[in-house]
Formats: sequence, structure tokens, C-alpha cells
Amino acid sequence: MAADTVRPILSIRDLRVTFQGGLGLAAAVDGVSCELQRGETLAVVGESGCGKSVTALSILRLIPSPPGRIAGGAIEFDGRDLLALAPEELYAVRGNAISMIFQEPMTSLNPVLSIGTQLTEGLIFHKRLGIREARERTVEMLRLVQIPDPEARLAQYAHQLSGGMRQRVMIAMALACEPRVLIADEPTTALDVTIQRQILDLMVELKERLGTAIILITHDLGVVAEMADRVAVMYAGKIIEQAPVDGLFDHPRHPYTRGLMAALPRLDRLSASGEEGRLNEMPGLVPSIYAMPPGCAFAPRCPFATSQCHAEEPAFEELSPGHYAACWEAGRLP
Amino acid sequence: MTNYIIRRFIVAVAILFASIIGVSLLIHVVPGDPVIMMIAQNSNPSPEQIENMRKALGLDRPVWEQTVIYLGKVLSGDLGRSIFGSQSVAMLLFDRLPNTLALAAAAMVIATGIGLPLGFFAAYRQGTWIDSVLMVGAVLGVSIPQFWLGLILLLFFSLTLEWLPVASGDYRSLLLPAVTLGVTYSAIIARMTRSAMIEVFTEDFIRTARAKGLPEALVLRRHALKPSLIAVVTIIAVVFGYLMGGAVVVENVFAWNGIGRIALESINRRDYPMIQGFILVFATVIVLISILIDLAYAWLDPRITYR
Repeated sequence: MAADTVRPILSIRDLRVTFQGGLGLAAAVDGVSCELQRGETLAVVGESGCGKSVTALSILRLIPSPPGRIAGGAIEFDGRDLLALAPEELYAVRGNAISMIFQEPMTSLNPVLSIGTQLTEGLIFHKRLGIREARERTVEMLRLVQIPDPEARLAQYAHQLSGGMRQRVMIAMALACEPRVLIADEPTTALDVTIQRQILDLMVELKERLGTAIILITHDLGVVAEMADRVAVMYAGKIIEQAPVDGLFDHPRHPYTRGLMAALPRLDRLSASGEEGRLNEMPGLVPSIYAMPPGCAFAPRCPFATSQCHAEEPAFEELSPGHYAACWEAGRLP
Repeated sequence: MTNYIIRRFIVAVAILFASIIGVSLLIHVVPGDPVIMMIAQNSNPSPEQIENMRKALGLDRPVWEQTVIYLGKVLSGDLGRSIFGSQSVAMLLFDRLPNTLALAAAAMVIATGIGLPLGFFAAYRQGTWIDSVLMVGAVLGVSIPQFWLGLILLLFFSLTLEWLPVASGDYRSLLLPAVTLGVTYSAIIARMTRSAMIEVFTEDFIRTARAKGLPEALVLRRHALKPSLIAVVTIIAVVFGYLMGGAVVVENVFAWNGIGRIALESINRRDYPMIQGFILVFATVIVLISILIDLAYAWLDPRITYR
């Protein structure tokens, strides 16, 4: 991609996040590197527990610690390593230059503080606005995320809003300070399908208006196809394939990515006889982070695995321009 | 809201009635007889004398009849007269009530004033040695018997250091009993505050507040304190109940002229009207506190509205 020559706005290098659990120390994220260009939407996909949320939370250093710990790597934003910032410097970045929306709109708002308080406090803190200005700006933001009657909402509480409304409030909150990067951790998973649609449309619209770069964490490949410019596929704490969205969907190079796509329900493949009516599923389970297999973590589930796959970890290589994968057999796959 | 309060008061009256009946049955189960206790002080009474005395006090009637008569009197505002000394129970109790309430309030202020910040701090430093020290201290605080702590404090501050009077009846003599009571219950409040705070820390909305860029101190003060207070307020209501019971012990140790002193004396002498009276007063105070606490919930948590 041409964007290669431009300096990325955010770059994660060799991130390693460990958790101290009852079974010992385990790496939930193990050597993740990726870059986010200005105005780009990067989707991070993978099954539950693959480390995508932990990666996202690490960027703003929101990993609950203990038991979590960022054990290594660097996250560079604007020429500074976020992992090395002093608390005050970190506060100035959070919610201001980089902000985040979460999966659970039902529980992500404080139940005992008014919507107005929660929406204005970021503006008051980061932009040094007075209460009146902050409220005006907040009403503007609520209007932008298409919340009806925004002035009246300020005095309301989270329980008085529907799930879709709460996620709109979260988006308004995240975008209030016009961040350059928005991290959206499964923003639509907890919502009804019709509301999902509205929220995604809203994100696309706001991204175009504000030029925000987005890291979209999801396990929904349909959302990826619509929203993303580039995709990183994670498995067992590592990125195992990364490509522009078209390249990935047209020609996935990693057997795991192929498995994910094969598991998608396809209306056009349903025949009247029902021969292919059954969903494809991937055999086996994600390995526990406490008992990682040697070699490629996907090898035990992989139909193409060789003895080399079980013994040695494959390198993450560029197979075609902008398309990377970590698989010994990538070149020989059918 | 008004409807809710009215309903709560109706329920409160029912609870008080139930407590009167319960106590009435209980005191008759306890061995001992006020008449024998009273007369035994003088001389050798004849069985006839005893019988007459019982009749005069109404103690010859069946328990249920005595209870119904007492309920009827309470409804007309008459708490009866003490068997010993024949003063009006109501007069005696309302004379002493302000002293007990002052003690309870002072102890509550001390308990909350110590317990809340310590619990808050322990939660903030969860898992560190500070947390461990505070929580071991809390276990000690709960475990120390109040009569013992009271005596030790008396010995040290009044007799050794001579900073405070042993018993003077003014506000200075309120200090030691209030501290004795307060320290014990501050431990319960500290533990409760700590666990409530720790639970709130794991909530998604705390992560949201941090993601917003708020400094940790502001996250704690604005986002974590109020939700955790809901649990703390509940324990404060419970503690207030304990505290009224603790007051009986502490008032006797410090010779504080409250209801607690009458209580112990009356129980020892099986002075039925007095026992009934002080339990009714305690029950009323506790029921009122629990109504206040329920109203505090509505103020703390906008999700709660009373209709």
C-alpha cells in the first residue's frame, strides 16, 4: 500500500502482555506488532480469548493490574512511547488523543452519575472548557450521534436509555475531544442487529467527518468487510495474518483465516437439497494460554500441518505486497 | 414518595407490635420472678403476701392476657410503671434517651469517620502490606470485647494520664464510651467499605472513567465512591442496631446515664414493664433508622425511586 511511506499514527512493536493466574504466568499477547495509518480503519479479528481485547486495552494501559502486566514492547503514538509515559502524561492522552469505546454499553456508563456529568467531564478536564461551554459542546455531540432531544438527556441516567442509545452516548463521549485514534472494542456485539447497523453507519460517518483512525476489534467478519481498510487476524496471542481487506477476503493465506471464513454462513451457498446447508466449523479449541503447544499454535487444529509446524514457529512474512502471514505451508496451500 | 413513607410507617408499627409480643413471651420464659426478687430483699414473705402482690401487678393472669393489656396501654400512650420504685417507665426512658442517642450518634460518627477512610484506603492499596495491616487491625477491632476495651481506655486515659474524668456526666465523659463503641464498629465499616470499593473497581464504568483520561484520584472520588456508598449505607444501618446493643455494655462500664444502664438493671430484677419499655424504645429507634437508610438509597442511586 502507498500508506507504507507515510509515518503511521500508532505503531505497536513486539507487545507482550502477561497475566498471573492460578495456573501460573501466561502470555495473553505474545509479540504483537502492527501499525495504524492516519484515517485508516484497522480491524482486529479472532476468536474469544485470542488477545485482541487485551491488545486494545494495552494501548491506553487499561489492563487490570494485577493480574495483568505489560511485560514488553513499545506502543508509539506521535513519536512517544505510551508505555513509558508518566501518569499525568498518560491521562492527557487517554480520552483526548486516543479514546476508546467498549463492548458493554449497559455497564460502561456510571449508573449513579448523570449522562451530562459523564459527557462533560472529559471536555472540562482535557479542553479546560467551562461547564456551560462543555454542555453546549456535549449537546452538539449528542446531536451528531443522532440522539433525539439532547438537552433533556443531560439530566438523565444510564438506566433511562436503551442499549443503542447508551452506545451512542459512549461514542459521543469518546469523540468529544476529537481524538486522532478511536479504539472500538466490539462496539456492536451487545446490540440488536438493527441497532448494530445504525451504530456502524454512525461510526463510518463520523470517521469521514472527523478523520479519526479506528482500530476495530471484532469477531464479525461481515462488519470487517464493510468497515475495514486493513485486517489483522489474531490467534492465541499473536497476529498470524495481516492484509488489506480485499486481499484477505479474496485470498486468505493462513489456514486459520480460511477456517474463519469457511465458518461464515453463506446464503448463496445454501442449495435447495440442503447439501451444503450445514455450517462449516473448525475442529478443536483454542489452546490454553497456560499450555501453548510448541511450534505453530494453530498446528493441532490445522488440516495442513506438517511435522515442521509442530516443532518450529513460522515467521511472519510478507507474501505479497502488504499481505503478511505466519504459516510454513502458506505457499503450498491449495 | 409520601405514599411510600406512609406505608413504611404502617409496617413499622406492625414490627413494633410484633416486638412487643415477642418480648412479652420471652421474659416469661426466662426463669425468675419480679415479686420474689422484690420481696426477698426485705424479709420472709408469706405465700399470701406473694399472691396479693402478684395480683396487684397483674402477674397472676395468663401471659397472653398480660400481653393484650400491655398492648392496649401502649396504644393509649401508657408504658406502665416500674415494679421497683413505681416511677413512670415512659418518663424514665425519655429522660435517659437523649443520653443514649448522644452516645450512639457520637459512636457512629467515630465508627464512620475511622472506618470509611480506612476501608477506602485499604481498597485503593489492595494487596499491599498497608491493606494487610489495616485488615488485620479490623479483625482485632471486631474481636476486642467492648467491656474490656472500655476498661483499658478508662485505666489509661482517666487513671494513668488523668486526661479525662472517670465519670462526670458532661460531654467529656462521652468521649471514652463513644470511642469504645466507635472503634469496634469502625472495623466492620472498614471491612465493608473495602470490599464494596474493590467490587466497584472491577466495574466497566470505572474502566470507562479511566479511558476518559481522568486522574486516578478523580476516578475514585467521582466514579467509585458513590456506588460503593450504597453498600456502606446498608452496613451502617446494621451497625446502628449493634450499636444500640453495645450501648448497654458500654454505658454500664462507664456509668453513662443512658437507657442501657436501666436495661441491665431491669433485666436483673425482672422488671417487666421496664424491659418492655426499653426494648420498645430501642426497636423504635432501629426501625426509624432503617427507614432513613432506605430514603438514603434513593438519594444515592437514581435507579431507585419509591412510589
